Amino acid sequence: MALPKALRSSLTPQEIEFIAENQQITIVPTRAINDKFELLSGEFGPFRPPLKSKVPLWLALLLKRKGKCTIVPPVWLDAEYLEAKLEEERASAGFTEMPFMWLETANLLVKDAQDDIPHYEQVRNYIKGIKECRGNKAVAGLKFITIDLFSQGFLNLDNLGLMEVNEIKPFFAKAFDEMGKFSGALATDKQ
Amino acid sequence: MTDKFWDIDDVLAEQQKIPCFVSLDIPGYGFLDGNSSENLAKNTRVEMPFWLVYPMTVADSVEIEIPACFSKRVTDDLSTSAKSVNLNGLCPCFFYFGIKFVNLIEGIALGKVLAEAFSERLAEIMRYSQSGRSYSKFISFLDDTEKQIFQIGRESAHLMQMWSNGLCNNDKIQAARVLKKTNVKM
Repeated sequence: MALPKALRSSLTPQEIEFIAENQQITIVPTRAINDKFELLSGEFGPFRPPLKSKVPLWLALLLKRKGKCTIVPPVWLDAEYLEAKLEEERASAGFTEMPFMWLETANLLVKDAQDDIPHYEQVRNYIKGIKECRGNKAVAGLKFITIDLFSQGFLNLDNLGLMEVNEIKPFFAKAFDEMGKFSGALATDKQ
Repeated sequence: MTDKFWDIDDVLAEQQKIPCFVSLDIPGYGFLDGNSSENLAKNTRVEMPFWLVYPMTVADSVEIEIPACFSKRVTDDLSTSAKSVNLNGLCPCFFYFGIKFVNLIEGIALGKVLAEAFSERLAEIMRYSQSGRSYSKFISFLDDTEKQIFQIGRESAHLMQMWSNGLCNNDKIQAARVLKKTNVKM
């Protein structure tokens, strides 16, 4: 195949960001837009402040950049909530439950909708902290890729977000592949 | 055995030499031993590549000796501290060849040692590939398979890094990664 190796085994972060941009998010328009947006994914608008409406994230960010709306951040993008999550993350051995595309969504909102997120600086730090903590756990989880795993058949990585899975996927897949060859070799060991 | 005919790694692994004793006189093959005499005498020790040894073992015409890279000393080292063994120095395709070799002979516990060493080293490879630590010395200890895995890990860590730093705007023309890598020793 002509595709570069990095594109063959998994999605790129940009592609995932693109997928994440299709999530619905609530906005509060600041200016009235009387026309409807007729898009492939549906019709949005007309927007009449201060009525809230639900639009895809990409449209929300577009309007935000033009100063035509404020974004209502998702409930989990909140300093107190994230602080509790970070503590939970540090305390438990597994991964704590987070929205499937938390990292991507948070990154997009933190980048373009800073003034809509209360305690923006704190939120950013907590997000970073949680990401690092989970990253370390994922790396540590690698020690479970052993030969015994093949009798068990799977590695449990519950609650990992799309972006996080995507980062470790090529490495894990290749490692699994190579490990599989050993399990064949071990079969002859026992004979 | 030949399911990967076009795989260059497979070819390289099968090229590895295995010392073995011939169990019968072979007329006209004295050159294998490096002497000019006509016949290869019974019980001479010769080193032959894996691809030749394999059919000969099946025909029972050779007895295999364990190659130096899987000797007792090496397997002991691997089971005590797999991370610090220089596999590239022992044999550049250590694990690939190892799997083939384990399939060739029975009754040695080599497969288990290799598998355990491999998984122990994986964690270290992952750690290096995800962090920005200097890795040129570290990868000189890795065998080819491990280097491939390391490279894959590095790629995705790099992409993530670019993304979280907001550097992946595709509207700029950038130099190919290969061109930037000239100072990295592989």
